Amino acid sequence: MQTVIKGVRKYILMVAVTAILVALLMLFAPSTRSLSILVTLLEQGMAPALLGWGVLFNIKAGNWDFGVGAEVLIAAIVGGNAADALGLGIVGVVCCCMLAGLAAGAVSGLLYKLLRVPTIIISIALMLIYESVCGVIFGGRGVTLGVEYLVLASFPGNAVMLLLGFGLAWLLSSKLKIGYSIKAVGSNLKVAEDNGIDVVNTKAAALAIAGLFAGLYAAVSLGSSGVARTVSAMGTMGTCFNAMMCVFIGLSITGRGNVLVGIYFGAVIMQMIQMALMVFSFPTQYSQVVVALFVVAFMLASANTEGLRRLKRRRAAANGAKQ
Amino acid sequence: MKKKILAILLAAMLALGALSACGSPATDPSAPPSEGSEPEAEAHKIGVIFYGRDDALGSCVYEEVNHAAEVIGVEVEWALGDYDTAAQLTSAENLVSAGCEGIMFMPIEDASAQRVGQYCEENGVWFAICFRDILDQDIKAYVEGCEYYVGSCWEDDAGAAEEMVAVLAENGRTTYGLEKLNPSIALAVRNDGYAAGAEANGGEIVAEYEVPNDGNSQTHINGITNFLNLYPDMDAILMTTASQGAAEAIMNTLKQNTTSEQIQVVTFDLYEGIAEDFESGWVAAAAAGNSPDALFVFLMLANSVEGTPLSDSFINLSQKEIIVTSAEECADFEKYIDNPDFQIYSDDIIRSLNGKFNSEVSLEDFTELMEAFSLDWVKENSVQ
Amino acid sequence: MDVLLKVEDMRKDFGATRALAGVHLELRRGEVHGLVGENGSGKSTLSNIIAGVYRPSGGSMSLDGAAYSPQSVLAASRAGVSLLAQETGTIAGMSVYENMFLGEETAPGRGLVSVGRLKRETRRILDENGLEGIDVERDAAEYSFEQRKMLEVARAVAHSPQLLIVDETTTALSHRGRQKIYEVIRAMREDKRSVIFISHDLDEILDVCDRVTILRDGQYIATLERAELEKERLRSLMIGREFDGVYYRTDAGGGASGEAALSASGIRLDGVLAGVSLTLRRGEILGVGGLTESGMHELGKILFGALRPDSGEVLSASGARIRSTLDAVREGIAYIPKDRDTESLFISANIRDNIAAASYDRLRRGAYIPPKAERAMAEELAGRLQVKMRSVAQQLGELSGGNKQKVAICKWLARGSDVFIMDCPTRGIDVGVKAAIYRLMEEIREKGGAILMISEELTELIGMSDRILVLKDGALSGEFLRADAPGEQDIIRLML
Repeated sequence: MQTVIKGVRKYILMVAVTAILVALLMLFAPSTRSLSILVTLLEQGMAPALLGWGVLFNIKAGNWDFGVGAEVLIAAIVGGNAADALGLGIVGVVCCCMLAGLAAGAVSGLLYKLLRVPTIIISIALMLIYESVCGVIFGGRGVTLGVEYLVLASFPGNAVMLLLGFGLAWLLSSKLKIGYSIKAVGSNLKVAEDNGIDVVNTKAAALAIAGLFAGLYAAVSLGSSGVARTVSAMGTMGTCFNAMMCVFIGLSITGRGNVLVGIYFGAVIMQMIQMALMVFSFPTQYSQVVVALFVVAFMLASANTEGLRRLKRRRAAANGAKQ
Repeated sequence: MKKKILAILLAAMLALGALSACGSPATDPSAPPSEGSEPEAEAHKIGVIFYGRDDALGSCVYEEVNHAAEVIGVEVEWALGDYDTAAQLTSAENLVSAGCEGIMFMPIEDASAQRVGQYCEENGVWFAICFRDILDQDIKAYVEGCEYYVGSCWEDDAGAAEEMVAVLAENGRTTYGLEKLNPSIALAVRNDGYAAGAEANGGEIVAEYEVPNDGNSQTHINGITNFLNLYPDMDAILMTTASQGAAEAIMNTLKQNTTSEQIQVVTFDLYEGIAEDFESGWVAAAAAGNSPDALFVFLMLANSVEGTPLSDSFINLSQKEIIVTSAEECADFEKYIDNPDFQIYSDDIIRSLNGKFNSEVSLEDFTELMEAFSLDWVKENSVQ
Repeated sequence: MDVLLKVEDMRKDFGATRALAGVHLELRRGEVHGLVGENGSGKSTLSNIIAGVYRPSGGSMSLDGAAYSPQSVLAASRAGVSLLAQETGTIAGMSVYENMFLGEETAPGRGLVSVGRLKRETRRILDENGLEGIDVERDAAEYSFEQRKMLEVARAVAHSPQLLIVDETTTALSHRGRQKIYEVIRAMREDKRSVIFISHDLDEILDVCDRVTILRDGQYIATLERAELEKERLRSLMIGREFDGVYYRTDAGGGASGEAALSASGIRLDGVLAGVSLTLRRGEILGVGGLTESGMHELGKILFGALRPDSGEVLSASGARIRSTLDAVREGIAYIPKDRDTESLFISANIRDNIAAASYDRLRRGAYIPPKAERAMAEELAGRLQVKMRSVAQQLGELSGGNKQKVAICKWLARGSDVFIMDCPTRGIDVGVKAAIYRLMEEIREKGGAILMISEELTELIGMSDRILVLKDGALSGEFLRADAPGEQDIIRLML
């Protein structure tokens, strides 16, 4: 019983916040009052959560990696075309995309290790390079897969990928030393170093891991849409920022629970915001503004939880002083 | 040490880029005006700035302009591959330095229209714009005030959008979801065209989502899924673009979640597999996206360069778009229009639009032809 | 004589600075060996080399007869050498069990981390060390500095090291915390395992150590056997001259002008302070003492506006309400916090930037801050306080604790502050620098400034204060005047 109570307390914040927002949406938008909408939201949160988990490793390690969107793109184009050419089916797409994404992330990590310049610079340079390369390889046509590959847009395909991604993220963060090293490096570099953790290799590993998840996300995208086309002029940064926002919201509602689950709920909340904007006919050109305001609000609430508690105490103390 | 190497590499790359920009424009060694025709002493030269010739539109424009130049005895010099204002301006400078007396270009953005236009005006070079209208009113006023501005021709996207909505309305479909373009870009007139079409045909756009600029197909998937879940009465999707994988993502999502009886689609631009989607009833109409704007603008410009201008003032022409509504029309479009090896207009027609060969050429000749432009006309008048 | 560790001709250079110049050390098995010296003498550098934090520039070590050159703290730990450092060695944002096994998450020969094992082992280690109240799953940041230090103690002894290095750890701890460390040291000795004990508290050194090695300016000076250990002898060897042993105030006090420099009324903070009121007057040093958890440290923060009380108000000399640190700085109030590395100084910035940090509005000419003026100001103040440095361009992190504290004071002197709130101003600082800081405090007081000094050292409180306020459980329990010449027992009676 104690374990159950402990478990509930750990996850109550993220579940409650998400549930309240869903309830509010359903309250004010009657067209959303159905189980299928709830299922849709839970499904729509799956793919962004995959990329969010990859981005989390970078954020934990203190890396600023704006190239993860470009890694998604190159993983999709290289992995998708390779799997299709070899006739490997959807499993081949997943494997090839993950390998391509891992390679792209590993290049990022290797460059960081060799050049020792800030990760933000490496990532922006590689973003430009990867976008350009995508415009050249395979005739610049990107990748198009046949309908037989489109099995990841719905249950059970999407659930399998979510579980695969979760398992991988959990393994890396909780069951392998690298996860702890990443956390230590990002939290206190000096103490981490003093305890024998190789800071440079750890940060490089985080970049590679993010690439792996970029490949996973690319595979899910291909397995849902069947297509990936080239993007230029740093257009892939949008993908990167969306993933970061899922992570920021997730971190603010995780509380004592598992941060991976928190990020999934963060992704669901992001999709809910998009749905709400559509339902309330909010002009699309302001949708990013609304999303950004939500993210800021979540971050403020999270950062100021102590302040809110103090406010409560101050009021109680003032009342006590009056009596 | 490593940082020094990186700095040297970056500097070298910058230097290389700067040096290459100083080079001659991307002239195609196989440019037809140099082959075959012996330039007369008074042969004029026109420069063309275009994004490229690797895609369907680009290759068609390249072939039709080169052919027309050959027919009317004008030299053409090409500048391909420019994607920003600075590059287009540099190309204009290089073309003028190479002796071009007229510049035709597709501005990558409104600022480019102003910069290139200003340069041409200051250097007494005729200029004309193809495929684009200028959205910024101040820039438009400036360009239209230029003495050397010949005019422009762009596709009537808004009209095409209205026409496609009319097709849907004829099919009894009046509740629409819009795949919307960002209002800040030039092609956003398609949004307005769809809106006008909906109003004119008693329909309603009940929901919309914006095309992502990161090319992320998940945005399309989620947008369409939300349409289907939140608006069960929706019976059509209005697509403003099929490019960057939008069509594939949208169609695949629709096919996995609904039927063509429930939802039909109208779209700009043809995409791979559209013929099959026409046959299975998914697509009601498509604005095919390739039209001879550039040819008309080139001929208009040539007249000005050769001293037989069509008008004392600038000319704005509006090119009708071809709307295809069946797989057969798709096939015809690809055969006759979206085909660089096929010349839509005969040499006689081309000459009739040039002052050297037809002293009575007028603007009406142009507009009549443009009005008549359709798939049927092209098939009937095909000489190939 | 069973020698556990031998250090020969140890050299360490940090750029152009020679931190160690051929130091020798011989540690016997089962002995508690003290290592003393002024700030900058090289004792922390030596202990860090032994613990694997730094790599030496020259020299050699042997452990248990075999060559010993650890490449990391982890390697040293595996060889049986553990370090308890002065500053924080746990990571905020990671749980207690993650901190306990930092760098050693996997069991030997295993690739996967067993979280259950980590938690169980952590629980066992904590219980063995009397830390039953600590939840292994909670973030280490949720615990106080002392509790986190106790975690480090538990971690350090968990692997039964044959050598434990305690580097100026006790000075930051409460009485209870220190007792815990003494217990550990006793247990090590009884078990025939060794301890290198570094402390500025010479009384503590004399109590705990069997032998003491003295370093000065990176050089080995002497090793004294137990029979030779004497405070004055240690001090003179540390400083290189005779020390008269008097560095507290010798006057009888009474110079306060009566004018209030800072006043607080009805300060309440839930669970910490229960309605504290005080007035700090110009020309006085007001000492505030109590147990670590008496609320005095939080009081210091509230007076500076760094912590908002639940109720009550703080007023400056001009009557302005202090609600934020900006208000305090504007009113000429300075704050030297207890945890100087994280709350007072920019460790990764240089000395110049640290000194100028609070004075940019005074240095600037329009929108421009003249570098020359900035440098001149920093050099003048650093020179006045005799900061041991290469130049003001030196990174602050390379300085010893005492010199860092001097830089912290320089920052406020640069600003022209004359009301100081000092929280444990001489924590972890050697006798030489302590004396310098006391002289400075007297100077401030004599010039009409005011100092509120929070201290856990009774001798310091008695030696330096004009008045002493004693806090107990968040409330004032008593006040002493300098003229009353209170003894330590008088104060302790009110603290407990």
